[in-house]
Amino acid sequence: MDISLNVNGSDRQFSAEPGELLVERLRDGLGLTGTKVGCDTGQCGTCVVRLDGRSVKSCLVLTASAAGSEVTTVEGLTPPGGELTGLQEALRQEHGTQCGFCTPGMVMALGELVDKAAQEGTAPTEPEIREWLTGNLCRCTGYHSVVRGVQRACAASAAGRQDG
Amino acid sequence: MILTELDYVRPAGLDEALALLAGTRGARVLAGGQSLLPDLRSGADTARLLIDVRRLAELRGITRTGTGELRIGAATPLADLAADPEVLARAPELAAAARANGDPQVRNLGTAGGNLLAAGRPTDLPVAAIAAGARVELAGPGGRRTATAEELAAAGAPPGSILTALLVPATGPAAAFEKTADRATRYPVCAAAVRITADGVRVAVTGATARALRLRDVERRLAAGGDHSTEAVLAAFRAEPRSLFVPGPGTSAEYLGHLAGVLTARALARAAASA
Repeated sequence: MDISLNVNGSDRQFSAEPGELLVERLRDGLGLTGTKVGCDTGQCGTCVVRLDGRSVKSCLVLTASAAGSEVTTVEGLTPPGGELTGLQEALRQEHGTQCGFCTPGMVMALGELVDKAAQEGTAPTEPEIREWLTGNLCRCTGYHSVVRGVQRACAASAAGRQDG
Repeated sequence: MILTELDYVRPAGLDEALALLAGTRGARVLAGGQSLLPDLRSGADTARLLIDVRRLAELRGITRTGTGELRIGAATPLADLAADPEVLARAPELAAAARANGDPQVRNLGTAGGNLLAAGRPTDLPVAAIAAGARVELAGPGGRRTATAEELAAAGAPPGSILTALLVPATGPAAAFEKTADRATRYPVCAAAVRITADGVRVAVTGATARALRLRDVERRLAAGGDHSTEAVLAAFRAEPRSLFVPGPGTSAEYLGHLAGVLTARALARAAASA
Protein backbone atom coordinates (compact mmCIF):
# COMPACT_ATOMS: atom_id res chain seq x y z
CA MET A 1 0.00 0.00 0.00
CA ASP A 2 1.15 3.56 -0.65
CA ILE A 3 1.33 5.42 2.63
CA SER A 4 1.89 9.05 3.46
CA LEU A 5 2.80 9.93 7.02
CA ASN A 6 4.20 13.01 8.73
CA VAL A 7 7.01 11.94 11.05
CA ASN A 8 8.67 14.51 13.28
CA GLY A 9 7.54 17.30 10.99
CA SER A 10 8.64 15.71 7.69
CA ASP A 11 6.25 14.24 5.14
CA ARG A 12 7.28 10.68 4.30
CA GLN A 13 5.95 8.55 1.44
CA PHE A 14 6.58 4.85 1.22
CA SER A 15 5.00 1.51 0.44
CA ALA A 16 4.05 -0.81 3.30
CA GLU A 17 2.43 -4.21 3.78
CA PRO A 18 -1.08 -3.97 5.27
CA GLY A 19 0.05 -6.02 8.27
CA GLU A 20 3.01 -3.76 9.11
CA LEU A 21 3.04 -2.15 12.54
CA LEU A 22 3.95 1.49 13.06
CA VAL A 23 6.89 0.62 15.32
CA GLU A 24 8.40 -1.49 12.51
CA ARG A 25 8.13 1.40 10.04
CA LEU A 26 9.69 3.85 12.49
CA ARG A 27 12.62 1.64 13.46
CA ASP A 28 13.30 -0.52 10.41
CA GLY A 29 11.94 1.69 7.62
CA LEU A 30 12.86 5.16 8.84
CA GLY A 31 15.79 4.31 11.12
CA LEU A 32 14.25 6.02 14.14
CA THR A 33 15.53 3.54 16.69
CA GLY A 34 14.89 5.77 19.71
CA THR A 35 11.53 4.04 19.83
CA LYS A 36 12.20 0.64 21.40
CA VAL A 37 10.58 -2.76 21.17
CA GLY A 38 10.31 -4.45 24.55
CA CYS A 39 7.43 -6.88 24.82
CA ASP A 40 5.96 -6.54 21.34
CA THR A 41 2.51 -7.22 22.86
CA GLY A 42 1.33 -3.79 24.02
CA GLN A 43 2.23 -4.15 27.66
CA CYS A 44 5.65 -2.58 28.31
CA GLY A 45 5.32 0.89 26.77
CA THR A 46 8.87 1.22 25.38
CA CYS A 47 7.38 1.87 21.92
CA VAL A 48 5.16 4.82 22.91
CA VAL A 49 5.02 7.67 20.38
CA ARG A 50 2.62 10.57 19.91
CA LEU A 51 0.01 10.04 17.18
CA ASP A 52 -1.82 13.29 16.37
CA GLY A 53 -0.77 14.51 19.80
CA ARG A 54 -1.88 11.50 21.81
CA SER A 55 0.48 8.98 23.32
CA VAL A 56 -0.05 5.51 21.84
CA LYS A 57 1.79 2.20 21.75
CA SER A 58 3.27 1.97 18.27
CA CYS A 59 3.26 -1.85 18.40
CA LEU A 60 -0.56 -1.63 18.62
CA VAL A 61 -1.02 0.59 15.55
CA LEU A 62 -0.94 -0.50 11.92
CA THR A 63 1.19 1.74 9.72
CA ALA A 64 -1.76 1.78 7.30
CA SER A 65 -4.08 2.97 10.04
CA ALA A 66 -1.68 5.79 10.95
CA ALA A 67 -1.51 7.04 7.34
CA GLY A 68 -2.37 10.72 7.09
CA SER A 69 -1.50 11.33 10.74
CA GLU A 70 1.31 13.19 12.47
CA VAL A 71 3.71 11.00 14.41
CA THR A 72 6.25 12.32 16.89
CA THR A 73 9.01 10.03 18.15
CA VAL A 74 11.58 10.81 20.83
CA GLU A 75 13.93 12.00 18.07
CA GLY A 76 11.39 14.66 17.16
CA LEU A 77 11.38 16.34 20.55
CA THR A 78 14.67 18.15 20.12
CA PRO A 79 17.18 18.38 17.25
CA PRO A 80 20.40 16.28 17.52
CA GLY A 81 22.69 18.06 19.95
CA GLY A 82 19.91 20.45 20.88
CA GLU A 83 18.61 21.28 24.31
CA LEU A 84 16.61 18.67 26.18
CA THR A 85 12.92 19.32 26.72
CA GLY A 86 11.84 20.41 30.20
CA LEU A 87 10.63 16.89 30.99
CA GLN A 88 13.82 15.25 29.71
CA GLU A 89 15.98 17.66 31.73
CA ALA A 90 13.91 17.11 34.88
CA LEU A 91 14.14 13.32 34.47
CA ARG A 92 17.93 13.66 34.06
CA GLN A 93 18.26 15.78 37.18
CA GLU A 94 16.15 13.39 39.26
CA HIS A 95 18.05 10.32 37.96
CA GLY A 96 14.81 9.19 36.34
CA THR A 97 16.51 7.79 33.24
CA GLN A 98 17.93 4.71 34.98
CA CYS A 99 19.23 2.13 32.44
CA GLY A 100 17.52 4.06 29.66
CA PHE A 101 15.66 1.34 27.82
CA CYS A 102 12.20 2.35 29.01
CA THR A 103 13.05 6.07 28.92
CA PRO A 104 11.99 7.00 25.37
CA GLY A 105 8.59 5.39 25.96
CA MET A 106 8.24 7.08 29.34
CA VAL A 107 9.24 10.47 27.90
CA MET A 108 6.69 10.15 25.09
CA ALA A 109 3.91 8.91 27.42
CA LEU A 110 4.58 11.42 30.20
CA GLY A 111 4.94 14.23 27.67
CA GLU A 112 1.21 14.06 27.08
CA LEU A 113 0.51 14.34 30.82
CA VAL A 114 2.91 17.28 31.23
CA ASP A 115 1.50 19.04 28.15
CA LYS A 116 -2.07 18.60 29.42
CA ALA A 117 -1.12 19.99 32.82
CA ALA A 118 0.57 22.99 31.19
CA GLN A 119 -2.49 23.66 29.01
CA GLU A 120 -4.85 23.46 31.98
CA GLY A 121 -2.49 25.38 34.27
CA THR A 122 -2.55 22.52 36.79
CA ALA A 123 -0.04 20.01 38.12
CA PRO A 124 -0.79 16.28 38.29
CA THR A 125 -0.86 14.72 41.76
CA GLU A 126 1.51 11.88 42.62
CA PRO A 127 -1.28 9.25 42.29
CA GLU A 128 -2.19 10.74 38.90
CA ILE A 129 1.43 10.50 37.73
CA ARG A 130 1.68 6.90 38.94
CA GLU A 131 -1.62 6.03 37.26
CA TRP A 132 -0.33 7.60 34.03
CA LEU A 133 2.70 5.29 34.26
CA THR A 134 0.64 2.06 34.31
CA GLY A 135 1.46 1.50 30.64
CA ASN A 136 5.24 1.87 31.08
CA LEU A 137 7.21 -0.92 32.71
CA CYS A 138 10.62 -0.32 34.29
CA ARG A 139 12.53 -3.46 35.27
CA CYS A 140 15.56 -1.67 36.77
CA THR A 141 14.74 0.18 39.91
CA GLY A 142 11.24 1.51 40.02
CA TYR A 143 9.35 4.67 39.52
CA HIS A 144 10.13 7.06 42.40
CA SER A 145 12.75 9.04 40.52
CA VAL A 146 10.55 9.16 37.42
CA VAL A 147 7.65 10.53 39.48
CA ARG A 148 9.96 13.17 40.99
CA GLY A 149 11.13 14.07 37.49
CA VAL A 150 7.55 14.73 36.35
CA GLN A 151 6.87 16.81 39.46
CA ARG A 152 10.03 18.84 38.80
CA ALA A 153 9.09 19.32 35.14
CA CYS A 154 5.58 20.51 36.03
CA ALA A 155 6.91 22.87 38.71
CA ALA A 156 9.47 24.33 36.29
CA SER A 157 6.80 24.73 33.64
CA ALA A 158 4.45 26.48 36.12
CA ALA A 159 7.28 28.79 37.26
CA GLY A 160 8.03 29.56 33.60
CA ARG A 161 4.39 30.52 33.05
CA GLN A 162 4.47 32.85 36.04
CA ASP A 163 7.70 34.50 34.88
CA GLY A 164 6.25 34.87 31.41
CA MET B 1 4.12 -7.60 11.41
CA ILE B 2 0.95 -9.61 11.16
CA LEU B 3 2.21 -12.67 9.37
CA THR B 4 -1.03 -13.93 7.83
CA GLU B 5 -2.24 -12.74 4.43
CA LEU B 6 -4.22 -9.58 5.06
CA ASP B 7 -5.78 -6.59 3.33
CA TYR B 8 -6.63 -3.22 4.81
CA VAL B 9 -9.27 -0.73 3.74
CA ARG B 10 -10.47 2.58 5.10
CA PRO B 11 -14.11 2.97 3.97
CA ALA B 12 -15.50 6.44 3.28
CA GLY B 13 -18.69 5.83 5.23
CA LEU B 14 -20.73 3.35 7.20
CA ASP B 15 -22.62 2.03 4.14
CA GLU B 16 -19.35 1.17 2.40
CA ALA B 17 -18.08 -0.50 5.58
CA LEU B 18 -21.24 -2.63 5.81
CA ALA B 19 -21.02 -3.60 2.13
CA LEU B 20 -17.38 -4.66 2.54
CA LEU B 21 -18.22 -6.61 5.68
CA ALA B 22 -21.08 -8.42 3.93
CA GLY B 23 -19.15 -9.10 0.74
CA THR B 24 -15.75 -10.29 1.98
CA ARG B 25 -14.96 -13.60 3.64
CA GLY B 26 -12.90 -13.15 6.78
CA ALA B 27 -13.57 -9.41 6.95
CA ARG B 28 -13.25 -7.84 10.38
CA VAL B 29 -13.97 -4.39 11.70
CA LEU B 30 -10.88 -2.59 13.04
CA ALA B 31 -11.42 0.35 15.40
CA GLY B 32 -8.81 1.03 18.09
CA GLY B 33 -7.20 -2.35 17.52
CA GLN B 34 -5.94 -2.61 21.09
CA SER B 35 -7.26 -6.18 21.45
CA LEU B 36 -7.59 -7.25 17.83
CA LEU B 37 -4.03 -6.40 16.70
CA PRO B 38 -2.25 -8.40 19.45
CA ASP B 39 -4.64 -11.29 18.79
CA LEU B 40 -3.92 -11.20 15.05
CA ARG B 41 -0.20 -11.21 15.73
CA SER B 42 -0.33 -14.10 18.18
CA GLY B 43 -2.64 -16.13 15.96
CA ALA B 44 -5.41 -16.10 18.58
CA ASP B 45 -7.65 -14.44 15.99
CA THR B 46 -7.72 -14.23 12.20
CA ALA B 47 -8.77 -11.73 9.54
CA ARG B 48 -8.46 -11.58 5.75
CA LEU B 49 -9.58 -7.97 5.50
CA LEU B 50 -9.48 -5.24 8.11
CA ILE B 51 -12.14 -2.56 7.66
CA ASP B 52 -10.81 0.46 9.56
CA VAL B 53 -13.75 2.46 10.96
CA ARG B 54 -11.75 4.48 13.50
CA ARG B 55 -12.12 7.79 11.66
CA LEU B 56 -15.71 7.44 10.45
CA ALA B 57 -17.48 10.64 11.56
CA GLU B 58 -20.76 8.69 11.98
CA LEU B 59 -19.11 6.62 14.70
CA ARG B 60 -17.46 9.40 16.68
CA GLY B 61 -18.48 11.95 19.25
CA ILE B 62 -20.72 12.29 22.29
CA THR B 63 -24.07 14.09 21.89
CA ARG B 64 -27.35 14.55 23.76
CA THR B 65 -30.34 13.07 21.94
CA GLY B 66 -33.85 14.56 21.94
CA THR B 67 -34.98 11.88 24.37
CA GLY B 68 -32.42 12.82 27.01
CA GLU B 69 -29.97 10.05 26.27
CA LEU B 70 -26.24 10.42 25.72
CA ARG B 71 -25.26 9.03 22.33
CA ILE B 72 -21.66 7.84 22.45
CA GLY B 73 -20.26 7.01 19.02
CA ALA B 74 -18.79 3.50 19.00
CA ALA B 75 -15.38 4.71 17.77
CA THR B 76 -15.09 7.31 20.55
CA PRO B 77 -11.79 6.67 22.36
CA LEU B 78 -12.10 5.48 25.97
CA ALA B 79 -9.98 8.47 27.04
CA ASP B 80 -12.59 10.88 25.61
CA LEU B 81 -15.43 8.97 27.26
CA ALA B 82 -13.63 9.05 30.63
CA ALA B 83 -13.07 12.83 30.47
CA ASP B 84 -16.35 14.02 28.95
CA PRO B 85 -18.11 16.49 31.31
CA GLU B 86 -21.62 15.32 30.33
CA VAL B 87 -20.74 11.66 30.89
CA LEU B 88 -19.02 12.46 34.19
CA ALA B 89 -22.11 14.34 35.41
CA ARG B 90 -24.88 12.13 34.04
CA ALA B 91 -23.40 8.64 33.70
CA PRO B 92 -20.47 8.62 36.13
CA GLU B 93 -20.31 4.81 36.30
CA LEU B 94 -19.60 4.79 32.58
CA ALA B 95 -16.83 7.40 32.80
CA ALA B 96 -15.22 5.54 35.72
CA ALA B 97 -15.40 2.23 33.86
CA ALA B 98 -13.86 3.78 30.74
CA ARG B 99 -11.02 5.12 32.86
CA ALA B 100 -10.46 1.76 34.56
CA ASN B 101 -9.46 0.02 31.33
CA GLY B 102 -5.84 -0.71 30.48
CA ASP B 103 -3.50 2.27 30.59
CA PRO B 104 -3.54 5.83 29.17
CA GLN B 105 -2.12 4.78 25.80
CA VAL B 106 -4.62 1.94 25.39
CA ARG B 107 -7.43 4.34 26.34
CA ASN B 108 -6.20 6.85 23.73
CA LEU B 109 -6.84 4.36 20.92
CA GLY B 110 -9.20 1.79 22.42
CA THR B 111 -12.82 2.61 21.65
CA ALA B 112 -16.15 2.39 23.46
CA GLY B 113 -17.49 -0.07 20.86
CA GLY B 114 -14.40 -2.26 20.89
CA ASN B 115 -14.54 -2.42 24.66
CA LEU B 116 -18.21 -3.47 24.60
CA LEU B 117 -17.46 -6.16 22.02
CA ALA B 118 -14.16 -7.52 23.36
CA ALA B 119 -15.58 -11.02 23.54
CA GLY B 120 -13.69 -13.24 25.92
CA ARG B 121 -11.95 -10.33 27.63
CA PRO B 122 -13.43 -9.05 30.89
CA THR B 123 -13.33 -5.40 29.85
CA ASP B 124 -14.82 -2.75 32.11
CA LEU B 125 -17.39 -0.93 30.00
CA PRO B 126 -20.09 -3.66 29.59
CA VAL B 127 -20.85 -3.89 33.31
CA ALA B 128 -21.30 -0.11 33.58
CA ALA B 129 -23.47 -0.03 30.44
CA ILE B 130 -25.70 -2.74 31.91
CA ALA B 131 -26.08 -0.95 35.25
CA ALA B 132 -26.84 2.28 33.39
CA GLY B 133 -29.66 0.58 31.47
CA ALA B 134 -27.90 1.50 28.23
CA ARG B 135 -28.77 0.33 24.74
CA VAL B 136 -26.55 -0.09 21.70
CA GLU B 137 -27.24 0.88 18.11
CA LEU B 138 -26.37 -1.78 15.52
CA ALA B 139 -26.21 -1.24 11.77
CA GLY B 140 -26.48 -4.32 9.56
CA PRO B 141 -27.48 -5.45 6.09
CA GLY B 142 -31.13 -5.36 7.18
CA GLY B 143 -30.97 -1.80 8.52
CA ARG B 144 -30.51 -0.35 11.95
CA ARG B 145 -31.79 -1.65 15.24
CA THR B 146 -31.08 -1.33 18.92
CA ALA B 147 -30.38 -3.92 21.58
CA THR B 148 -29.88 -3.57 25.31
CA ALA B 149 -26.33 -3.62 26.67
CA GLU B 150 -27.39 -6.74 28.56
CA GLU B 151 -28.40 -8.50 25.32
CA LEU B 152 -25.12 -7.45 23.68
CA ALA B 153 -23.09 -8.85 26.59
CA ALA B 154 -24.98 -12.14 26.32
CA ALA B 155 -25.04 -12.63 22.56
CA GLY B 156 -22.48 -10.25 21.00
CA ALA B 157 -23.19 -8.34 17.81
CA PRO B 158 -24.88 -10.28 15.00
CA PRO B 159 -22.54 -11.33 12.15
CA GLY B 160 -22.27 -8.68 9.46
CA SER B 161 -23.31 -5.85 11.76
CA ILE B 162 -21.37 -2.86 13.04
CA LEU B 163 -21.92 -1.39 16.49
CA THR B 164 -22.41 2.33 15.83
CA ALA B 165 -23.26 3.86 19.20
CA LEU B 166 -23.97 3.38 22.87
CA LEU B 167 -27.17 5.08 24.09
CA VAL B 168 -27.07 5.87 27.80
CA PRO B 169 -29.94 7.26 29.86
CA ALA B 170 -28.51 10.54 31.17
CA THR B 171 -30.30 10.29 34.47
CA GLY B 172 -27.75 11.86 36.73
CA PRO B 173 -25.12 11.28 39.29
CA ALA B 174 -26.54 8.44 41.47
CA ALA B 175 -24.32 5.75 40.00
CA ALA B 176 -20.86 4.32 40.64
CA PHE B 177 -18.30 1.77 39.46
CA GLU B 178 -15.81 -0.14 41.65
CA LYS B 179 -13.06 -2.50 40.58
CA THR B 180 -10.36 -4.74 41.97
CA ALA B 181 -7.86 -5.11 39.14
CA ASP B 182 -5.46 -7.93 38.47
CA ARG B 183 -2.07 -6.28 39.04
CA ALA B 184 -0.47 -7.61 35.86
CA THR B 185 -3.25 -7.52 33.27
CA ARG B 186 -5.35 -4.64 34.67
CA TYR B 187 -8.45 -6.74 33.92
CA PRO B 188 -10.91 -6.93 36.80
CA VAL B 189 -10.74 -9.78 39.28
CA CYS B 190 -14.15 -8.31 39.92
CA ALA B 191 -15.84 -5.05 38.94
CA ALA B 192 -19.29 -3.87 39.99
CA ALA B 193 -21.45 -1.04 38.69
CA VAL B 194 -24.64 0.26 40.27
CA ARG B 195 -27.22 2.88 39.43
CA ILE B 196 -29.94 4.09 41.81
CA THR B 197 -33.18 4.79 39.93
CA ALA B 198 -36.73 5.67 40.92
CA ASP B 199 -37.56 1.96 40.57
CA GLY B 200 -34.77 0.77 42.84
CA VAL B 201 -31.12 -0.11 42.32
CA ARG B 202 -29.56 -1.82 39.33
CA VAL B 203 -26.54 -4.00 40.10
CA ALA B 204 -24.15 -5.53 37.56
CA VAL B 205 -20.95 -7.51 38.07
CA THR B 206 -18.12 -8.72 35.84
CA GLY B 207 -14.77 -10.47 36.20
CA ALA B 208 -16.02 -12.69 39.00
CA THR B 209 -18.73 -14.05 36.73
CA ALA B 210 -18.58 -15.75 33.33
CA ARG B 211 -19.49 -12.44 31.68
CA ALA B 212 -20.94 -9.05 32.61
CA LEU B 213 -24.26 -9.81 34.30
CA ARG B 214 -27.11 -7.87 35.82
CA LEU B 215 -27.95 -9.50 39.16
CA ARG B 216 -31.72 -9.12 39.47
CA ASP B 217 -32.01 -11.43 42.47
CA VAL B 218 -29.52 -9.29 44.38
CA GLU B 219 -31.53 -6.21 43.37
CA ARG B 220 -34.78 -7.82 44.61
CA ARG B 221 -33.25 -8.79 47.94
CA LEU B 222 -31.94 -5.27 48.44
CA ALA B 223 -35.33 -3.76 47.54
CA ALA B 224 -37.16 -6.15 49.89
CA GLY B 225 -34.84 -5.37 52.79
CA GLY B 226 -34.72 -1.63 52.11
CA ASP B 227 -31.20 -1.70 53.51
CA HIS B 228 -28.00 -0.95 51.54
CA SER B 229 -25.57 -1.46 54.41
CA THR B 230 -22.45 -3.52 53.68
CA GLU B 231 -23.87 -6.38 55.77
CA ALA B 232 -27.15 -6.35 53.84
CA VAL B 233 -25.35 -6.29 50.49
CA LEU B 234 -23.01 -9.13 51.52
CA ALA B 235 -26.02 -11.16 52.64
CA ALA B 236 -27.74 -10.50 49.31
CA PHE B 237 -24.66 -11.85 47.52
CA ARG B 238 -24.31 -14.86 49.86
CA ALA B 239 -27.79 -15.93 48.77
CA GLU B 240 -26.61 -16.22 45.15
CA PRO B 241 -25.71 -19.73 43.93
CA ARG B 242 -21.94 -20.34 44.24
CA SER B 243 -21.90 -21.50 40.62
CA LEU B 244 -22.52 -17.89 39.55
CA PHE B 245 -18.91 -17.05 40.46
CA VAL B 246 -16.20 -18.52 38.26
CA PRO B 247 -12.87 -19.02 40.03
CA GLY B 248 -9.74 -17.79 38.27
CA PRO B 249 -6.04 -18.03 39.16
CA GLY B 250 -5.77 -17.75 42.95
CA THR B 251 -9.47 -17.12 43.57
CA SER B 252 -12.37 -19.27 44.80
CA ALA B 253 -16.09 -18.86 44.18
CA GLU B 254 -16.54 -17.96 47.85
CA TYR B 255 -13.89 -15.22 47.66
CA LEU B 256 -15.30 -13.80 44.41
CA GLY B 257 -18.84 -13.74 45.82
CA HIS B 258 -17.59 -11.84 48.86
CA LEU B 259 -15.52 -9.45 46.74
CA ALA B 260 -18.49 -8.77 44.46
CA GLY B 261 -20.55 -7.93 47.54
CA VAL B 262 -17.90 -5.63 48.98
CA LEU B 263 -17.44 -3.75 45.70
CA THR B 264 -21.20 -3.44 45.19
CA ALA B 265 -21.64 -2.11 48.74
CA ARG B 266 -18.90 0.47 48.13
CA ALA B 267 -20.45 1.48 44.83
CA LEU B 268 -23.91 1.82 46.39
CA ALA B 269 -22.51 4.00 49.18
CA ARG B 270 -20.76 6.27 46.68
CA ALA B 271 -23.81 6.42 44.39
CA ALA B 272 -26.07 7.33 47.31
CA ALA B 273 -23.62 9.99 48.49
CA SER B 274 -23.54 11.67 45.06
CA ALA B 275 -27.31 11.46 44.47
